[in-house]
Amino acid sequence: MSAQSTIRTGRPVVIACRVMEPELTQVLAGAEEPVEVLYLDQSLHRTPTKMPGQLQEKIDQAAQTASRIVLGYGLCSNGVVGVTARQQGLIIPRCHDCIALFLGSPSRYQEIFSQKPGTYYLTPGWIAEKKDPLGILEENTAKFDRETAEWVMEEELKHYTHIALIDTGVEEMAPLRARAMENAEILKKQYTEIPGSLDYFREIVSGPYSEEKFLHLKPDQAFKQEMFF
Amino acid sequence: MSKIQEIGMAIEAGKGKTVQDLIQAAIGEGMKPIDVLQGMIDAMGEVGEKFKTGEIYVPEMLIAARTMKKGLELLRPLLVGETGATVGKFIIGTVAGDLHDIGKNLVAMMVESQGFEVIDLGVDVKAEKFVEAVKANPDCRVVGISALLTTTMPGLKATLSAMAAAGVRNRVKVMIGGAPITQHFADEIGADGFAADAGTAADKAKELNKSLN
Repeated sequence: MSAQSTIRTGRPVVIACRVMEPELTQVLAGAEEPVEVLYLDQSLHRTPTKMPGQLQEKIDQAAQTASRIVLGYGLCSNGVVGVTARQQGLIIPRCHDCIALFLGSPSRYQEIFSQKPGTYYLTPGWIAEKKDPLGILEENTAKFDRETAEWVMEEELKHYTHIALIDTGVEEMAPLRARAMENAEILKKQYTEIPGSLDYFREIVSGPYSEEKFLHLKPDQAFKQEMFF
Repeated sequence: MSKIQEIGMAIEAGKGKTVQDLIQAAIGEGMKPIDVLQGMIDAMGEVGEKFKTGEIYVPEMLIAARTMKKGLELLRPLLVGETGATVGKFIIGTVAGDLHDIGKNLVAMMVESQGFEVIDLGVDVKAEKFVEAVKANPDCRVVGISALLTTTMPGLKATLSAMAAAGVRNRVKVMIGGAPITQHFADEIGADGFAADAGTAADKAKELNKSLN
C-alpha cells in the first residue's frame, strides 16, 4: 500500500523518524484533532545526504491532501536542507537533533548537552529499533567480525563518558533500563537516566507551533541551514 | 592488475598485513615510494567518495583508515629520504564542545601523508588553545578545525574571533570542515578554506600553505 493511499484528505500530516513512534503514538491517542503520521526509516540519519530526497518524496505525497505538514525532524545533520512544500508550507522543529524533542525543548537540551557533551542518548525507539550501541555492535559483528566490530565501536565512542536513558514515560522502564545499563557496562560508560517530556511531540501533533520551538516555512520556501543560526 | 591497484583494494578491504606485504613487494620491484603513496591517497579518496554517496558507512571508513595508517607506517621512513624536509606545520583539532574526531583524525592522516608535520590538539579544543598553539608555532601557516554537530558550528566562528582578538588570525590560514559544514558557512564566518572530505582537505592544506609563502 502506498503511503499516499493511507492519508485521509484534509488532515494534518506529520512526517517523522521512526525513532519517535512510541512517543508520537501516545500523543496521537490523546489528540483532539485526528492527525496522520508518516514514518521514515531510522537508519536515514546515517546517510544525511540521502535524507532530503526521501523526505521530499514523503512531503510531496502528503501535500496532495494535507491541511498542514509538520516534520518530526530537527536539522538532523542537514538532512532537512532543501525540503519544501509548495502549497502548505512546512513547520519544522527548531532543534539540531531529535534529542531536544525527547527532552521537551531546545533550551533544555542545550543545558544538558553543555553539562555532559560526551553523552550517548537512548530512548525507547532507539532501543526498539536496535540502534543502541549494542545493537550496532551486533550488526557490525555480522558484517565484519567481533574484534573489528568492537574496535569500531571503541573508536566511535571513545570520547563519550555517559550513556543516558531518556524516560519519556511511554513505556515500561525496567526492560529499557536493563538494556541501557548493559550498553553502559559493556562500553564502560557511566549510566544515567534523564526525565524526558512529551511536550514537544504534543506540539508537533497539535500545535500551536510557537516561534521559539518551530520554524515556519512559507509555501515553496526551501529550508536552509542558516535558518537555524 | 597493477600493484598500486592491489594496494588500493587491500586498503578498502581493511587488510593491513596484505597492504604492508604489497608495499614491500612494490618497492622491491623498483616502484618509487612517492608513487606508492599517491596510489594509497587515491584509494582513500575513493573510499571517501563511497562514504559520501552512502555506499559505505563509518565502520568501513574507519577500517580503511586503519589500514592506510599501517601502510603509511611502513612507507614513511622511505618517503623521508625521498622528499626531504616537511612541507610545513598543520595545527588541527575539533571545535570546543565537539568530541567527534573520526573525520578530524582522517584529515590529520591525509595531511600528514602529504608531508605536513601535524600538531593534533585533540577534541573539544577551546579557542584559547588554538591561539596558544599558533603562538607556540610561529612557522605554522595552516590550521584546521572541525565540527560534526550543527550545535557546535557557532564555535568555529568564535574560534576565529578569538584568534583575531589575540592578533594571530593573520599569521595563519584557517580551514574548516566536518559533515555539516558547507562552503557557504565557511565564507560566512570568514574561514580561508573548506574541504568536504579528507582527501580534498589535504589538497586544500597544501594550497593554503603555499598561499602564505
